[in-house]
Amino acid sequence: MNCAEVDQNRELHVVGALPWDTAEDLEAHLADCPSCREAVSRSWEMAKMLRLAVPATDPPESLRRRVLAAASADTAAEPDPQIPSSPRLPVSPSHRSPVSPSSRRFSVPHLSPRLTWAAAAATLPLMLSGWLAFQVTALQQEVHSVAQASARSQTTNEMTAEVFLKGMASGGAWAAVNGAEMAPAARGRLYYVLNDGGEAVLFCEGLPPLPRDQAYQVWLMRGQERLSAGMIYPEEGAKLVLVIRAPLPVGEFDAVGVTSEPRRGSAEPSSSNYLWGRVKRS
Amino acid sequence: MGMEPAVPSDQALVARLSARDSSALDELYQRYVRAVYSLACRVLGDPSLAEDVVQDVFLKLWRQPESYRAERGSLGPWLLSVTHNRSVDMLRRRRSHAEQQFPEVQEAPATVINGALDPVDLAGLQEDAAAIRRALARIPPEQRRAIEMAFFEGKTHVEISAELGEPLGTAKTRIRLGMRKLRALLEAEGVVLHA
Repeated sequence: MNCAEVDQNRELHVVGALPWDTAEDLEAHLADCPSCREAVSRSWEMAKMLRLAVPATDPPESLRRRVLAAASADTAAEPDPQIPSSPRLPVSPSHRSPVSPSSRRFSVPHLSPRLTWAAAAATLPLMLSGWLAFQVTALQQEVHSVAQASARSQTTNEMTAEVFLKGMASGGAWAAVNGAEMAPAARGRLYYVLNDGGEAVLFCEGLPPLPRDQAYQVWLMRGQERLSAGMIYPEEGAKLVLVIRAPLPVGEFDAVGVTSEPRRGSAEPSSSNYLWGRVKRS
Repeated sequence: MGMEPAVPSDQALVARLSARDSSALDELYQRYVRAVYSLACRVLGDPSLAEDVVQDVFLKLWRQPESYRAERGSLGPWLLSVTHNRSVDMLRRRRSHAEQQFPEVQEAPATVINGALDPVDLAGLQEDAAAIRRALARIPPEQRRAIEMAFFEGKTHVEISAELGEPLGTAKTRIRLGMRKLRALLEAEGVVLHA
């Protein structure tokens, strides 16, 4: 699309009157044309005004109670942020605050000084071994969780390599995935195998953190159909990768989108898009 | 020494959402629910579905207050943008259009004038609402109808042309000319449209 065509279509674009492929072409032009970007931005101000041009209708009072109750239930479902979800790292001796001579970690009954020191000497190895055992356990758990993450990463890397190898053999294509309303700064790329199989890899970054009971869900869209392609967990890093295995070639779908959903996933999208990209080329 | 403003700004209330302050959500709800609900009702034509959209919009703000960014514009227009997108998406899903796909249209970020936002923009919204209604009443009815079919009924110019039994170019021209005429009328009234 050129500048003259953008000028002819910008008002249609902001009212949603353009078919999706034409809207996509217009947006693609804006990425490289500041003057058209400015002109379309002015048109968007008219869309903001139009949203006000509706008959004023008062909602029922019950809706307020419903919304506040839902928010309250949401808060109640959140894990207590004070309770750590993973074992703490062992405290290095240099960071341990010195124990004041007057304080004791364990109280002992009042005994004669000789017996007190003897009792302390006898219990010290037991205390020390118990502390060491705890630290070793915590360290083992930390190593295990790191190993698990590493294993997942390694598996993802292997699967990603498989997809690219298949794409090299039978053909592959890239699709840009752009930040949408919920995450305008996010971006991504979708690599998908052409024709043979439904393998694809979605790379994305810049997605905002989510509440702990939520994760990102990837959708493949075709017409009104929304097919879940998998979950992405934002706590796994700033750059996220999802290997997709769809029942048909990903190139047969119109678009890919990313929404926020409960961690167990949803049957259909329940939020606005965080990322969206067109896949099928006419 | 500064004093707390008697009326907290939208930004201050949104900041309190991060601290799970439900009274802040209640305040924002009471400020904007009428505009949000009215828009959802207009698009969906179904109060029950409109209530679902209202809940979705405010719950989304509650769960992810960081998704609203003050540098992109005032909270009211942002809420209405989310409402419009959700409502049109819901409307299109309800209609059986197997051949068409509607992307989430990305709105360009607004420029904040003077780097500051009005503490409570409700009065401004109400004035703007009255102004756009006056302007709509003054453009030719066929242009107004085409704009309404696109914006509030989620129809493309192809669908509008088919429904009205008119050439494709006619629907496009009506929307384009109608929107430009609306802008001229608003500017003549002194309504400031931030570029």
